[in-house]
Amino acid sequence: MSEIDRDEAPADDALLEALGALAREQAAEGPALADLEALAGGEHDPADRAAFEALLAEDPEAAALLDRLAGPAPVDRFAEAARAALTAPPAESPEPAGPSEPVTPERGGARVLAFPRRAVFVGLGVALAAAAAAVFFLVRPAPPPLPDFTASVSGGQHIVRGAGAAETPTLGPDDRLDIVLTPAVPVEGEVVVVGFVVEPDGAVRPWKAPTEISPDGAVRIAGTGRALGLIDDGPARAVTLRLLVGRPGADAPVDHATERPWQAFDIAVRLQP
Amino acid sequence: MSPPTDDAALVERALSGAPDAIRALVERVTPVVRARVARILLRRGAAARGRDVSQELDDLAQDAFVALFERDGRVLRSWSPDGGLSLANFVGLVAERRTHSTLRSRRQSPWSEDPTAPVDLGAKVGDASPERRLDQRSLLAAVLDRMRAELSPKGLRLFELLMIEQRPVAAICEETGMTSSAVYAWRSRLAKQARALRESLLAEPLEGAR
Repeated sequence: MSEIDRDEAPADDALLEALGALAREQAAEGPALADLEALAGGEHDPADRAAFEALLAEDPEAAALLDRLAGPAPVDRFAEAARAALTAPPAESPEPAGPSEPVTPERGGARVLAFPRRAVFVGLGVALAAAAAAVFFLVRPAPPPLPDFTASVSGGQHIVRGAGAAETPTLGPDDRLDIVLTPAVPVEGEVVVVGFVVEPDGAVRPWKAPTEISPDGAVRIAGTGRALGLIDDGPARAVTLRLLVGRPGADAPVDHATERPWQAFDIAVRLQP
Repeated sequence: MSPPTDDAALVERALSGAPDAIRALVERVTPVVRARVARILLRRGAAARGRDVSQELDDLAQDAFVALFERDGRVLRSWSPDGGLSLANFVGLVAERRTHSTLRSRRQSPWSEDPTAPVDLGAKVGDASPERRLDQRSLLAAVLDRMRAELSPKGLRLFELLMIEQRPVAAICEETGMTSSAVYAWRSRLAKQARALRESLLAEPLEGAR
């Protein structure tokens, strides 16, 4: 690409005019906002795509997006996220990071770090972006950035079944789940873990898991399905356990992909009440 | 559309933390938020979308609600029914800004999608080669994206009124309740910000620039 000379920088007004012209062109190219709002608001027959013919002719993949827009909106999920954001103390209100690659369970035992016998819980009423969640941490000195963590998941013979790491483990009330998040190097300072359960319909709820954090910053969440608070009265279903590891007081991450005060781990589990 | 006083009362109750008010407010503006996010995703085209676009729509819409309510509702508290923006329009602008910011922060190319017709930036570049005009078009689009991500809702609305809709200053004063001096001051501020963003983009490494 050829260089753009600073000597040819347009006058401020000309630049602003050009930006306005470009914005008008862009608006004219895509579907009208009014049509999109009507679709989202249920004023359109979802099957009626007449207003979007030109778009779909050029971009057939847009159909999936339009279908989603026309479908029921997860208002409850949005409202919960809004409520959680409103009530979160600013310094400790992380947004859930984008999901990492799902962690597949290891067969047999995973390497487990030595932990102190007692589990330390400190709960704060921290409400997070996606849902309210409880925060467990040990009081430690203040923080350099965390190293990368890796996750391992293991369970007893009732959980890991079948062949292949791709199978989602099943967790009943008495089945045991053992999750370990291991830092690449020993961690100095506080480590915070925040948990969510992501339901099949996308709804997110807090997950108050009994958490142990070793002096080196390794995190362990272990227990039966009942003890972990995962088994409820609902139907059997596949959920995602989302764990965020970070520092207390970390700013809410804007850039989920690259600015990582929080590291996210997703663990697929099939709940079997 | 409900009267501004109703919206103001609903916003006040929602910001006080009343769950039913929060839900009612969210339900009212959800179509606007989702439509604005969808428009941005559609504009980016299939090749630029990446993630499951259906999931992306509601993830970004949720993010917009977080932007409104986080930090004790700082952004939502800045809305006033007398400020020239309806609640729906204000929320829509916040949604657009947050979406642009989030998508940009994923370290996509700062340059936009394929350019179409070149835009004449003035006499100095009027005789530029086609290749140079295409580069400038990409630069312009990148500046526009940045402005959408960084301007306040008020700034975005003034940019819309002044530069996109090209409304006369008197009409803008009437809609917004601003004085003509204030509108001119905003225009000057927008121009300076556009220039600063352009300079900033020129200084960035060109990842995947076309």
